[in-house]
Amino acid sequence: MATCGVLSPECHVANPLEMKKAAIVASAAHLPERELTNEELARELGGAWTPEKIFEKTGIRSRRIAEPDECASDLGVRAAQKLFDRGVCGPQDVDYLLFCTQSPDYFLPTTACLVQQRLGLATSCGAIDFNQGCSGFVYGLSLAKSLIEAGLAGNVLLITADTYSKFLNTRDRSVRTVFGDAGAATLIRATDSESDLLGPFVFGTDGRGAENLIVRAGGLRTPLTAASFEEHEDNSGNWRSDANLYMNGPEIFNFTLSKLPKAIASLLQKSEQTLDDVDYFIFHQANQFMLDRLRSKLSIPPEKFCVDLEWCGNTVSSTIPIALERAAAAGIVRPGMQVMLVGFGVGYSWAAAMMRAS
Amino acid sequence: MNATPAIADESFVAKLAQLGKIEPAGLTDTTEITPADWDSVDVLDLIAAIDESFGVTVATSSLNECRTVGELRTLIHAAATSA
Repeated sequence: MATCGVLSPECHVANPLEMKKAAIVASAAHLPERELTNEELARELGGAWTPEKIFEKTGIRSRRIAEPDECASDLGVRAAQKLFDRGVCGPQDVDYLLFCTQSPDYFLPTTACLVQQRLGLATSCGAIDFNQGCSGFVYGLSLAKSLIEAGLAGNVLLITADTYSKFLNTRDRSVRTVFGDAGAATLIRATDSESDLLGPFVFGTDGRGAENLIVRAGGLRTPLTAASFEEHEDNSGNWRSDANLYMNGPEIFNFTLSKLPKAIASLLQKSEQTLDDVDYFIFHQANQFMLDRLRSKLSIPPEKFCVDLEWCGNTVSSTIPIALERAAAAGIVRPGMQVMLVGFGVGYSWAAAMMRAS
Repeated sequence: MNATPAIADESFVAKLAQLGKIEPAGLTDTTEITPADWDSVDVLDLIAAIDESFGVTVATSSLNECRTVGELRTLIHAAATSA
């Protein structure tokens, strides 16, 4: 009998996870209680921005804002507990936790380690953070698929959670109208299947766009000093400091118009499919204007294209799992459907993937 | 003689006039437009209109340098020919 060098003879036995395919089982979301409506924003921001104008420009009527003591980890933990409460799996079933955030509790330790303890996951569970924004969910899926199909894990819990509101200047309407806080938890499981249930993927990165969506101060490159909090007014009458989030909306828009159609064409080619073969499209819910332009440019029929941000705004890496869960609950995404997921934004970073709904 | 073709796309001219708060009939190459002074949502509208009508994207830094319709026309033409 063949042996494997220094390893025991048992190592030739087929790994029970071998030949398994990664599949998204379910997602659950948790949003903060506190609601920020357009009426409240219009009162605060003043000027020409009425509640209707905010809605017209963004497609958003309300967003949820984390309390001062409410962190991304808190939102993520609550979302994961909903998955457990629904019986999707138990805490001890999870053998790998991926936590995606750009607003971690601490520089260190890793937020995923804190979350492992709070959720009661096994101490044999792997747990890492990864820092990615609006493309984060699709990147997380690619990592989960890799772990599962390499036989390294059977149940991967992917948590996306962010509290961008804590980075926003109260007088910067370009970002306050758009972003909301949220956490989402998604279980990806090793499943018996002949064909792929998740993938293929395409990825993209262009660090030249880093300056266009950034919190300049607060990391180690530019530590916080008194000057970091000095507020300046821009051409559009928005105020911010270096400790706040800066977004160059028009440049981000340019980036999506120029990069995404190519990425989507490349994904279709890789999956040997056409746009018509895709049953439903869930793009990162950036804002209605951008989604409308992308849909029109790509010639995707409106009934196949998800726009679901009116009630919660742009929740960064959680927009796709939140929209996916709601589309499944509403019967729009049904088992067996081929769904295209596309994440894009800060970095610049983008990723697109096909999934078969379960 | 200027080799850059005129902006003939009607929907684009209408959008540009709306954004620049100018009557469409009054738009000529020397008409002043200053996207650098516009609200960012209006710049988004202009970028979308350029993409829709001409299939090109132009950097906001270049848009912000435009002072007249003629300069914008040259910018769009340069983007279209280099694409």
